[in-house]
Amino acid sequence: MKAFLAGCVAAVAIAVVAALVLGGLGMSSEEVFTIAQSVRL
Amino acid sequence: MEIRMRLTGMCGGICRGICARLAGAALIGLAFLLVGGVADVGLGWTNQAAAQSGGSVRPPASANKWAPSKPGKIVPQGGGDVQKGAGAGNLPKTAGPQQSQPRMWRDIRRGIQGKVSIPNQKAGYLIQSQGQMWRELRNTKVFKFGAWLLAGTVAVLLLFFIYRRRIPIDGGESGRTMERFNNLERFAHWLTAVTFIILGLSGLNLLYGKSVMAWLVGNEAFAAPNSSAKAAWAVVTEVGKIAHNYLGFAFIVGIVLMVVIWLRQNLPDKYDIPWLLKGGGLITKGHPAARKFNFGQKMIFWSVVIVGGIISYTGVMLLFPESKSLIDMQSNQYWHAVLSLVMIAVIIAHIYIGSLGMKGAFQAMGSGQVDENWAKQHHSAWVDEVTGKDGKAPAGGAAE
Repeated sequence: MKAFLAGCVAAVAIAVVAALVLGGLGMSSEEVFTIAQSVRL
Repeated sequence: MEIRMRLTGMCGGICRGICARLAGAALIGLAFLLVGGVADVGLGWTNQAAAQSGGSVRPPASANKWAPSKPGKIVPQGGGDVQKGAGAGNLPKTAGPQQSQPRMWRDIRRGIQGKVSIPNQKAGYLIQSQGQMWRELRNTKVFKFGAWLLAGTVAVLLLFFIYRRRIPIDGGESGRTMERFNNLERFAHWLTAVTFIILGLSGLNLLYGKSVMAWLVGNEAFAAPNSSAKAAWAVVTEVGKIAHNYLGFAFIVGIVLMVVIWLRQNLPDKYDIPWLLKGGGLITKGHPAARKFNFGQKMIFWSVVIVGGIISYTGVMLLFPESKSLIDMQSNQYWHAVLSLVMIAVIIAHIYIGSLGMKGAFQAMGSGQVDENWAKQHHSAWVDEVTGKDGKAPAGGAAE
């Protein structure tokens, strides 16, 4: 159970770090071509 | 009694809903048939009238003067100036026929790139014909392939469960446990598993959401999030899309961790072929020997590493569209979708055998401790290794 929770926390932490780094590089999620495009199809 | 009434009411509601939708579809189909039929009848009537009246429905003689002398060029047949043609006297000068430019449009259709003054040079493509092919592939073949693959996987597992039921522990639980996976191993597994489940569900929503969820939750709940407070599923889609973008990196970290921890134990060994020939003991009776990972688990591992690696690569490429051409992006998206669907099918089977399908299996990744009888049944060579019965020094994983 602890390993599972640690995995969840780590996943969120890595995602947040990725968002901050990519945000710092100037990439917003709206600029993601395919995923945004797929939603609109 | 009350529960029964409620269930009856729910079933009635669902049935009414389905009936209403089917009736709606039937009405729309009928309407199309009627409109199409009326249009056909009307056209037939016009043709019939023309045939019956002979030359009375011919166009006026002046109309032929505007027929093109060759495709793509419109000139009056008299050879005169368009604006001053014999039949053009009644037309305003600005309403004259314009030159079509088939060569230019053909080049545009073939993907010729113009120049633009904005940073996004891809905007120089007016038409990218491969985009239509990609869209067609995604919305038809990939869509159907995924639906059949996932439904087929679930159906096969259901049949397997009916045939084999839950695979028991031979001789029952011994009461003694041994460590199967340590904290780091379970952490790596759950990091990858949790992210994959979220990525899989949010990805499926991107591919099937409009068809399945819009039908299930209704168009209002599926609409754009800013248009209505009722559009709850649109919020889920929006959050899911953002989560999909960023959790992908956690998935990559999980794969790298698993490679570092488990690569050596997932290399081929002498137990693999006999295990495969016996079907892993899943279909026939008797359990073939295996080390820490049997052949089936190795296949899961390499699927995650190789297929998951390609999915990760294409996913990261999709996050940075500026660095790739349009056709590369379409290719990346196609393989990302197809391989993800394959991976989801593989993981559904993995989840089944690791939980419902086999007694005692979940504890391996749950608490990390498995029953000794379970370990001897499925991984006898590994038990010999960790207990030193193979004549070598114990490799770790002490019995409790």
